[in-house]
Amino acid sequence: MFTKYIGQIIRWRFLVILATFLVTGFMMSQMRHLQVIIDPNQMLPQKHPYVIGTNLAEKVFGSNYVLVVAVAPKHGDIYQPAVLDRVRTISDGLRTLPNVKPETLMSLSAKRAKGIAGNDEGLEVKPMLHGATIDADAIAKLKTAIQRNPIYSGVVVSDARDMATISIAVEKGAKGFTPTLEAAYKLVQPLANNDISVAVSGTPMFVYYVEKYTQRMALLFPIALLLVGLLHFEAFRTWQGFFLPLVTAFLSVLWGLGMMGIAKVPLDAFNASTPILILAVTAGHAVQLLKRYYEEFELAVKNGLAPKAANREAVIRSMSKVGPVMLAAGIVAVIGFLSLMSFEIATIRNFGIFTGLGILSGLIIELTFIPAVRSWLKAPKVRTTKPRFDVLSPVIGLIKRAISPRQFGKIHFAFLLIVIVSAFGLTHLKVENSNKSFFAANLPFQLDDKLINEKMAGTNTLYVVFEGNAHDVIKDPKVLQLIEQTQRFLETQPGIGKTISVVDLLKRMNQAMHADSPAAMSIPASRDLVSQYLLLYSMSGEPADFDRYVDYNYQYANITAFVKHDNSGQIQKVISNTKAFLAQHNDPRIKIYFGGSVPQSTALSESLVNGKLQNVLQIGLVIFAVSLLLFRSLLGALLVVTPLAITALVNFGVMGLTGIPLNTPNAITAPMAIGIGADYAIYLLYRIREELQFHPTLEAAIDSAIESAGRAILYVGTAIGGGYSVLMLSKGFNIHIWSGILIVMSMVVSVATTLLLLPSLIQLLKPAFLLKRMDRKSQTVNVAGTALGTAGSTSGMLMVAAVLGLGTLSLPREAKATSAPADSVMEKNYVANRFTDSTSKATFQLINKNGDRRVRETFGATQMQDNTVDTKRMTRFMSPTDIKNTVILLAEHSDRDDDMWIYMPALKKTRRLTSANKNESFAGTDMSYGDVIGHKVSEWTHKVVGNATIANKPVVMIESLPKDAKVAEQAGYSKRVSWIDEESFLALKTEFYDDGKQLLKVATLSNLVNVDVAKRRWQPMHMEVQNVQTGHKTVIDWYDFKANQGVKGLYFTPRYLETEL
Amino acid sequence: MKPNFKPLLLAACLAASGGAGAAFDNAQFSAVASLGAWSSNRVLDDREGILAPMLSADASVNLTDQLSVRAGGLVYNFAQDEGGSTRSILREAFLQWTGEETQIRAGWQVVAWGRADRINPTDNISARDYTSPQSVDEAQRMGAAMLSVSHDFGNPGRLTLLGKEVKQSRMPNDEAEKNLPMRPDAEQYEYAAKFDHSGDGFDWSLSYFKGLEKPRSLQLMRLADQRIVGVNRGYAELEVFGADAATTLSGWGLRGEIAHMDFPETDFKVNDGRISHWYGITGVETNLPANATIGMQYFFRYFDEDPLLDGVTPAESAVRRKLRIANNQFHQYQDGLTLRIAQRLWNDSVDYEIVGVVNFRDSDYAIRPRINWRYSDSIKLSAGADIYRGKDESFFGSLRKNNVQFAEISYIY
Repeated sequence: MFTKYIGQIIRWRFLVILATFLVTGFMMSQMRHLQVIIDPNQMLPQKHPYVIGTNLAEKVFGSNYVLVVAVAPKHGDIYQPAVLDRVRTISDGLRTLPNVKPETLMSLSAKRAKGIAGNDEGLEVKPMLHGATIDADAIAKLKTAIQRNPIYSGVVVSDARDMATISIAVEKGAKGFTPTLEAAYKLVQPLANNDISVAVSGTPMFVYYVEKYTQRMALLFPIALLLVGLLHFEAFRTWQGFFLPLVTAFLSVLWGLGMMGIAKVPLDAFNASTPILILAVTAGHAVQLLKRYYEEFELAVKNGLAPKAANREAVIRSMSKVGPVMLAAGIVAVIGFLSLMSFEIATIRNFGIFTGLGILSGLIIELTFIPAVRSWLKAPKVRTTKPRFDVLSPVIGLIKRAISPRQFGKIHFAFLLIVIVSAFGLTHLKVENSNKSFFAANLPFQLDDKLINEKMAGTNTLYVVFEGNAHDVIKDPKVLQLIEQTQRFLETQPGIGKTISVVDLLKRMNQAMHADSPAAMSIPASRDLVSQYLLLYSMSGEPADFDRYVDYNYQYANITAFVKHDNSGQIQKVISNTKAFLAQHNDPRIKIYFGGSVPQSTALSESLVNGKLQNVLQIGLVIFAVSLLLFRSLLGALLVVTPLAITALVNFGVMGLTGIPLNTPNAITAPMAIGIGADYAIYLLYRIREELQFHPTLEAAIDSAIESAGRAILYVGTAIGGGYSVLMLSKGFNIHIWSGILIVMSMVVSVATTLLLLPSLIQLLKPAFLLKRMDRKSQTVNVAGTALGTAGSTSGMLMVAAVLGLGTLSLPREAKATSAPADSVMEKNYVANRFTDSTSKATFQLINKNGDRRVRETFGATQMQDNTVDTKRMTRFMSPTDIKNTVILLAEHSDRDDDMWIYMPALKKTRRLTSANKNESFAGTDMSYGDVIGHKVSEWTHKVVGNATIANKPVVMIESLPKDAKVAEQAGYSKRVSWIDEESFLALKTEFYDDGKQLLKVATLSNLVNVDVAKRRWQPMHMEVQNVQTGHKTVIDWYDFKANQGVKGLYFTPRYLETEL
Repeated sequence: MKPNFKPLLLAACLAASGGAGAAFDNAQFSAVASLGAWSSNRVLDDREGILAPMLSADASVNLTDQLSVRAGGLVYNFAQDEGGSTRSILREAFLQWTGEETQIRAGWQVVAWGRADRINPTDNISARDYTSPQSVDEAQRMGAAMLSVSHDFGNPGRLTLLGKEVKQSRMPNDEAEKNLPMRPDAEQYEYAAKFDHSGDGFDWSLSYFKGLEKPRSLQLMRLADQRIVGVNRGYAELEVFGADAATTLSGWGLRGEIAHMDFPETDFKVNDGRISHWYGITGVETNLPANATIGMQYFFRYFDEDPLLDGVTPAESAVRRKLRIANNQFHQYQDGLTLRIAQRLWNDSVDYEIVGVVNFRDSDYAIRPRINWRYSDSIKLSAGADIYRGKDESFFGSLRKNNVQFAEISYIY
């Protein structure tokens, strides 16, 4: 299906590219609606009782976001004209700022800050600082007023009288709090000098700084882009590797941001990281696809296709192989992120939605635009030189070493230890939200906030709202007593600087009406008296004076507790204690609500605990369900989920151990890491399943999968980790730094668990959903084939089939081996792919049991000798450097010992080698010289032992035994069993048994290419020889194979051997 | 003093190859950087504990199908008490034209002849730097300006003709002997020819060389009345006719080499210098299980005259003893044995070799173990030792100060 689909994409590629540009242009046009805004309301779980209480308090008593400006003389008290003049200037200025509520202004010069005094006519209620000029008389009156009205102490003036504050409620505007705060700073900063300091604080200020610091993403994102690009460049060592994943990612980000613009959902501190995330995830998919593309391209070139045709073939084949996996993994991630829609907190919902849509965009682009572009671009160069030192290769080597069966114990113990330590860390997890904790403590505004909270009652609020069951209930002295008792109780709680309520005003009225007698500082005795005082107050005060304390109908009253911190954990304890206190003083007419800036954080924290667990479980379940569908196996789904579960646990554990709080921004990292990590497990499992078609053992398949998909996973993990590590550069902004640390750490754990734990579990559990493919093949001969065919090699045909092309004999199609005698089949096998001449290049990979890999590149030529049976074969090593230009020349002789020479560039000499020891390793490979030259048919006794099929190819199984001890000794084998393809007569698989009759090696051939259609000559392009006793393996890939081209005789002369290239 | 322009030439050649590499897809470049820890140097002083960094590089490019350029060399630092510690070797820098049957090379080249293992009487063309910190003896060869032409006659074989500038070896005792007067070189250019046959189960060659001996030799300085007045040093004129052969027989490899080393300008009776002689070696080798190889060779020198010390004054005897050592001519017939055991392990990731050489007449010997471990294609670790034993008045005994142990790490690019 994919093949057909991609074929259509390539056919209409220019249309696809045009459509992509049009969509991108449209999305970009919608980005103009994007704004960076922090809306605290969006973060709140609206059904939480504290949020309900806050909303109620805000509705009845005004906004809860209070901006505080402090004026403090550096010497003396505030009763200085310069100080008071600034208080007045700031007070007047704040009223004019955008998005403020002027009527909520509170300061020494505010109209609301009235002094209450008794006189002959009743109550005198006047602003404390009145008059146009601030002279000694005005200051003296102010001192008296403050002394008589302690309600203002700690609120508008510090207890030590060395700081005065001006506060005003602020509403979120269309552009957040930024316009208000920028205007406020513009107002107050010129008023500071060497004698008087001016500081700003309050929740809006912190939100403003979150908005401001969030905009750093504009700088961080390009850096992340560059980093991801460089990491990809390191991985592929091509500029296409640098650009193509970035193009995908960049377009995905544009689309994602465009969608955010269309929906007019603003960027905030949390979804501002969406671009980097989309970039990392989509680039990750692109890397998987690109890596496969390069593999397929090289294969296609090896198969003899011209670069242009090979490019097209590679685009189709890579997409048909990786496309379904990418779709599966991508959909898992998309569903995982979209599942955040169920989150109660709006900003997290937005994050989930747009990350999901961004990744979906990436999938669409990767499935349409990229193949269209790829098929249009010039075909890449086939790498002919040895790659430079690859940073990740040693890591891959370590991984392979670690997942060998001998290391299972260590691996499982290590992960068990990690789980135990993480579980321990989990018990120390701190669930708290604090705006202040988002920033480094040494930032100037943090220091300002600290100073204000030290001197004043506090810049944060806790509301206790009393709701009566009828109008005027609040006027009942019993209720007022309850309010006062609650105030006194609250003031005993840690962090509470002061409380204010209508009771304080009534008590002051009572005192004023009793000639300021200290004894009269109490609640009026009766409801009537309360009503009369309030009436008297209204005669000289203003209607809105009590709005912050009581509603118009006296059904609601509010205690405002000033809190010196914004720690949600600590305020939760205060609220719990207060609830317990109120339970003991229950009044059935009264219902209590808690709210305010700090309880809102508590609400966030409480919802986070449940929400986060719910979210992690939710994404885990989604991944489990999709994996169940993909693999149709419960164990398969569990294998996918296991690494993710460990990642989540480690994520929480590290937070607990390091003291990183679980708060709103950090709450996103675990599901994010899990969503991304799902890709890894799915890619790896798919690849293992695919590799099982070509490898005789599970271990070999895993080894190969680690080298391919595992390497890509490492690229992806490196890219994502590298991208997110940029966030750690956001100095002073803990939201970014925490996210950076947690995501990088999660990537490390995801990659480590996927590449270490998952393979070891697979080897331990041997899951049927993987092995059944192999079993199926075992029934049909234990080897699976590619579309082109897979095979084990045979004795002499191993290298012969590969390095050489021999065979002037053409094999008639009807020469089927099914009924042929064994000797006849083996004779045909011996010459099956001997060409008149050939040249080819090859890559030898020597892989030890630990996964350490050495690569040797060769150029080889073969030429049939005059007797049309024997060949000459030259193999020149082109890399690595220390054996470069070493040349081996073999001249077969049917009637006597073969001639062998080796030219060693270090010696500058050609040496004749003894040829009798054919059991010696050929150039460090798992093949012997005998395997390379070919085991003479006449020296072995052959018999047919069965028929089977390999990769739907009928094969005949032939057992070959040496005719005498000398042959056995020279060959080094006591038996060979060959699976001979009835069409090509190549041995698709060969088992070699040592002199102790134990299985020694298994060789397989694959990617058989019909290089000479007329003569039906086939050439394997891929060979693996696995030494099952040592665990060593040799993998050979051929490319640029050319047969019957008239090879120069020069290649087989000493002069050519000694000519170093 | 002759200006040392080789490093510049090497750099220029490599740069030119690199520049050409930018223009030609087939450009090849490789380099090896190594750092060795050596117990002592190889110049017979008493310096111990030396770090020896070394950088070698090779580059080549095919300009056309027939025309190519190749350059290579190395620079190393190997501390010594006298003389420069940092030295360079230009191994190759030549232009090569390859025809269907003929090949011509012009420029600095290294030529190694002889089918025997390590000891090659017919190998007299390229000089060596015996003082360099290289673990592989053959890598000590130094290039020299040369024009070489080889022509294939097909099955009969290949004829090689070459003419080159004279280039002398660097010897361990160069510094120690620098106060000795220097003889002028008898030749500025050298010539050589070889006809070589490979195949048909039997490889052989005949060769001729006319030029100077590469190691320095010492001679007595006499007045007209034959009174000895001192010793000088120089490079003896040499003419060599040689032959070699190699074949395999069942599981055995057989090889041999013989040459007549004629020193036309020296007369033992007159100047006590180098003595003409026959120099031969023959041996067998076979493979053992597990990729092991063992080889044994017998070698001999038969001098035209016996360098005896009888009938001379004690003073003259003392001087002549020095000459015996310096010129490695102790007995009219001197012979010995080489033994080489090598094995490649773990798919060639580890290999070791132990080479022993013993002179029968004086019972002096050398043992040279080497082991290499290729951690990866890029990183190789090596260790080894040169152990010389024998009485003072023996060839290997005189080299006892050059007993070394070393360990080296190489990064291969």
